[in-house]
Amino acid sequence: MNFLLELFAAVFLVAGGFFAFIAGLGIVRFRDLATRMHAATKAAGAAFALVLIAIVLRMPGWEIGIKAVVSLGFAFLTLPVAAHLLGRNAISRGDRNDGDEEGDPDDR
Amino acid sequence: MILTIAHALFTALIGASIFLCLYRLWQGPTIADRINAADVIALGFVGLAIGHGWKTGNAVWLDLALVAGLVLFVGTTAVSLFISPEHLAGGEDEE
Repeated sequence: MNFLLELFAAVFLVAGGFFAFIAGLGIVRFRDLATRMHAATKAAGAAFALVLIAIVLRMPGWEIGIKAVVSLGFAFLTLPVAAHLLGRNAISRGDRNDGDEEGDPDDR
Repeated sequence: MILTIAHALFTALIGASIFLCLYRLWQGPTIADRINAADVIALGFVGLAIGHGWKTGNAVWLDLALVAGLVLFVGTTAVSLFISPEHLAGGEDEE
């Protein structure tokens, strides 16, 4: 039972790292600002949630659980707000769609 | 054994993510790209802190992650307000 809990905690931790890697890959590979912010916000939020689930499975208990739920709720509240503010200000600056690579955007 | 392997894999993946975001921070065509990449880099370091707490079994690192996420939100909001044209125009005495 204890070994099974540790195994699940390890699986969730590695899944969180994988989603963080996906976020970095999306930030490098996507073609304009809006899609890059999409990768950053959603994949990083998923990675944060998976890592918090991993730490709750590693140390089960009320204290860690409440801290993890508060931290996760705060992240899920603030990540979209920050992304929305950043995107709104970038668009009102006129920085909407000037990608740095040339070629057909559908190929990338 | 399995904890060590999982933590090593996690650290390698987060490190790869941070280096990919460093490329976008260096190369980003707009300033909003750079702010976004810096945000994800800081979130990666928060993830590394939680991973260290996961490995050592110390719950203090979760508090650190909570406070760092709060400061991260305030920083990103402040910088993204700083790049807005309303702020750069200097308030209501313009036009």
